Amino acid sequence: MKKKHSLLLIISLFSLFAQAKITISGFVSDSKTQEVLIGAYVINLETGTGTTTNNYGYYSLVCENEAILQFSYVGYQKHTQTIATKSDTIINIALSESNSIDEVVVKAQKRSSFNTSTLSIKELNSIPSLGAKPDVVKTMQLLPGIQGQSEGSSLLIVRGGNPGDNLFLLDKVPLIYVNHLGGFFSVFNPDMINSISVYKGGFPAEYGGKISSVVDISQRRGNADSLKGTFSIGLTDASLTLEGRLGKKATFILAGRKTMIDPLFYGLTSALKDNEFRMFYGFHDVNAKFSWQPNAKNSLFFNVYQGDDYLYHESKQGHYAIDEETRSINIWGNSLASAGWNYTASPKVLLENNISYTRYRLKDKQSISDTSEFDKISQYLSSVEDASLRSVINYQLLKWWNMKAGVQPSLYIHTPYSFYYTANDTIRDISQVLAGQTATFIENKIKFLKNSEVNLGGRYVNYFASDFQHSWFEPRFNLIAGINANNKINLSYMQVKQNTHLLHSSGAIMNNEVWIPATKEIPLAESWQGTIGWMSSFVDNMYSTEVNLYYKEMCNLATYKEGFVNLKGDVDWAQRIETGGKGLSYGLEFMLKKEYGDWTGSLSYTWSKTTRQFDEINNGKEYTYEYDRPHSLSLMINHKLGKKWDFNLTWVYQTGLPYTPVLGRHYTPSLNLDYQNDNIWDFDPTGEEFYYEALIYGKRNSARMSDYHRLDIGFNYTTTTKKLKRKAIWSFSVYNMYNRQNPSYYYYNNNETGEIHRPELNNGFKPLSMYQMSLFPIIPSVSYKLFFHKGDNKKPFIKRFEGLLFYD
Amino acid sequence: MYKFIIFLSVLYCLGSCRKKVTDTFPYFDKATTLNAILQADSLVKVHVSYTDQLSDDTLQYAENARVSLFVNDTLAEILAYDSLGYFTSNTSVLVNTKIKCEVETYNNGLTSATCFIPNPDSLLKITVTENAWTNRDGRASPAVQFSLINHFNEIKYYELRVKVYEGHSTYMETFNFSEEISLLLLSNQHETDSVISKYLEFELFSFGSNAHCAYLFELRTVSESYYVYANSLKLYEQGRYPTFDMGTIVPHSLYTNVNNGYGIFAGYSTYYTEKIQPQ
Repeated sequence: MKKKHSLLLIISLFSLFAQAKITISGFVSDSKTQEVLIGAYVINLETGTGTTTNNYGYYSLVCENEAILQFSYVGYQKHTQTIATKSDTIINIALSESNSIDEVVVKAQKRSSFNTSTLSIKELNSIPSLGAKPDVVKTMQLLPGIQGQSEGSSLLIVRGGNPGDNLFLLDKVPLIYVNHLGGFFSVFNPDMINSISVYKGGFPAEYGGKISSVVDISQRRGNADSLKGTFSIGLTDASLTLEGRLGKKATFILAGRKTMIDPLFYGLTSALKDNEFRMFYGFHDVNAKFSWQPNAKNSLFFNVYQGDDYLYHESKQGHYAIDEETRSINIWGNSLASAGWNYTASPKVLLENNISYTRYRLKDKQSISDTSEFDKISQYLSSVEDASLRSVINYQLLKWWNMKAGVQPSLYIHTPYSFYYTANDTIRDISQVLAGQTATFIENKIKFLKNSEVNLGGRYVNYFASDFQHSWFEPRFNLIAGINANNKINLSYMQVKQNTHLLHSSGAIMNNEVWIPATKEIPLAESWQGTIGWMSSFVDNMYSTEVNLYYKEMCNLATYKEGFVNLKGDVDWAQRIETGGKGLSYGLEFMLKKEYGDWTGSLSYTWSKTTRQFDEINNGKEYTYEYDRPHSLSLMINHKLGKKWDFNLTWVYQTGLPYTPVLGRHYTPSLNLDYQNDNIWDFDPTGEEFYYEALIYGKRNSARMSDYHRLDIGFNYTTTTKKLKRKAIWSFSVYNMYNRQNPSYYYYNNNETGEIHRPELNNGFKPLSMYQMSLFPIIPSVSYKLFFHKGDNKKPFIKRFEGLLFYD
Repeated sequence: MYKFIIFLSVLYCLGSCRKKVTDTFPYFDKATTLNAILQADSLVKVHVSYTDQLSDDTLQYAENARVSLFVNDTLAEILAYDSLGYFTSNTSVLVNTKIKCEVETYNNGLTSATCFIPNPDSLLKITVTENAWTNRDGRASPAVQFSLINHFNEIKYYELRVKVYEGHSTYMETFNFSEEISLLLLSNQHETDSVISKYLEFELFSFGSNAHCAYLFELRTVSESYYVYANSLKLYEQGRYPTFDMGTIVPHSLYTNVNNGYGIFAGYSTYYTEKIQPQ
């Protein structure tokens, strides 16, 4: 009875509070293009309290019946709105782009984003890159706590995690494979991107499923003002983007990229090898998004993505008077389709719903035919399919309490290994695991005092794979305490589990990523992470700085057993997996950023230490993680040189990667296996073994390669074409400006030509030295980007396209 | 396929660079290396040498070492130096004996190692099927099915080898063992049945057909040190060189059972089948 009364009292109090306040919510967008503005500030000028828009441009703020709200966003004019209403109201705001540099200044409160880095497309475009084209993942690698796997790689190592421990979300839908060209480029087309948020720790309860990071990428909706597009071409690829309005309430954006080197490769190899051998490599990706907002309360969108890399070769050769023709194609990439519906049920409630399907596959198809009777086709396939639903409710319960809750059921089909062969017989080996997961989460963002808030929540997850079932709870806690308007401190804690493991071999530069599910034999990877941080802004918010200290433990990590680098050839693939690995990572991250002015830029520094331990690797002893880099520093500078030119510079310094050093040499017996040519072993049961010089290795990963550093510079020249007066941008960049030979890996040989001397073939002694392989010398690049839009004259293509769409 | 790999490697090299690393290597104390793979019923032959840093010089043989051989903990013989680092004996190794070797050198003191020569086990049954499966290149390939008694009271280690008679040529082949790694190695550690039965598909690397081949199998019953070393040798060779398509494999150290030194001191006994014509 007493409890009942207490409950009634609490509800009554809440009601009293609620009656005294109203909730203002809505979307903030660009007045011209109607593109939503993510991370825009909404400030109650009378109380100083405020909020920021989410990935849909949505905000919700509780204020007095009469209040003055200010809406602002970098690069846009501020908008002030006087509120005088007695009930909850939806107010959609359209901000106008600023023409004046001064108006860019946003001097309102800084968005508190500990453990989170946000990037806008503007920042993305201002960083010099390989090929003079911006790359999302490469840009992330400049942030503190985030490193690339190796030079050129788009795989991310976040706070000592594995490359497969990062969740990439494209409009809230997971994308499994994120690389092109073996990692030299990422699959994210910059023309499609609205904003990027990278969570390195302190995940909100909304996110889970990967133990190291969440990269949440929001795509643009397309320009609602007019039909427009861009075309760009660089050394690596050409891309085309079209966007516009369909009717009065719908927009679309369509973008595609394709390498241009494929035919060049094919022709060159054909000429070099006298038509006996041809090959090409290429990639493409296509993104399409259709958005429809039938009224102020509802918005729907449909996304499609398809991207592949492919490596093709064909050869003709003769064996024993038989001419044999071999064709081989390797294809790897993702396909994704999703639909979403956002419904503003009331000024206090926003519902987000998504349905999605993603598939990653790695396929190696080979066909051989010869002039005898022999014809065969074989195919190796490894794939992952993910079909998910996601339903989330955002509820502004009270002025100080915002609640978010949701459910996400997912179904996975894992095919780690599948082999198909047909000739005289047909053989099909397939190993498939059906798995599923239902994640339910709740997070409560509670504001207290003037500048403080706590986000308290958790995820309850139920996972199954074949006959294995497991449920668990992941607590999430994130406290931001405002010392004053410019200084904040942060404490966060999170636990996460991961139901898949990415198998990859270090240094592999081509397709070699295989995903396996957690099963009874291969447990779910787990991690917990705690962070302490401090954030400050000063000189009128011109400068901001952030320091984070993190400690992260991981367990049940999986990798290949020693000696294995793939699952090919073994339907019982699980026997090649080493499980139960432990990982530890801790470090200090520092970032200083100059937010506005003629010169902008940032300085990031990370000190960290990361280790691994597996029972069956390195004799069970802990060792330095393959990608451990204790010191990592990056400097980015941007400067506007007048109206047409801007300049950007990036300098990166990192401690060299660890490697296992050779201490010395000793003789070792061949075990009577006498290699001859073509791997044919000559065996004589009564013969003598021979001795050859073998290397004595030191402790695993106990030495360091030379430090990595590199300077990239870039210039962008914005101009208009002479005849059609279209906007165009020339981008010039020089990667590795001072031609630093950074080591990719070390190896031991007797010469530097790359021809390997193999003493185990009993071919005698040759003195060995250590050599390094470097990948990228100085690489100058240029790209050209042309903008066109409906206002242009003399554009037959656009006119035809408009006709096709019945554009009004 | 290998041409393709080579071609890719050339392309790779065009945009890459190799250079000698002139870092100072960590200091490494010279030590004695003691090696021997002892075969039952054969003369003892021990290889003794010194380790060294990476340098332009070949490794030195320990010509002046004093090499003592113990059988079941009793000094049996002081071995005489032969040539090329070999110390030989007039004593044959007997099965079911414990062999110990001690090497004394001027600089490195006493180095020693011990191994046990196991009794040979025989195969209960063995059959070869000529066209049992098709490999990834579409070639019909043979398989072997064999069985042997499982000695529950002791951990046993085996190595199976085959000699293939194809016309005038003979080849040594590898198997896809369903053990942890693809070696010709087997242990009864996890076998629960009284008879160990295995079915192994293997490949012939020759380009010709495997029709009308004949097979001679050797079952080696090996010491534990042999088994561990053979596994480590396979991993060592895999991690020794970077490869273009698979990336770098973390180097793996060779197993050693030598006290105060390096090397492997192991032994085995053998059982041979008749020459088998496949079914």
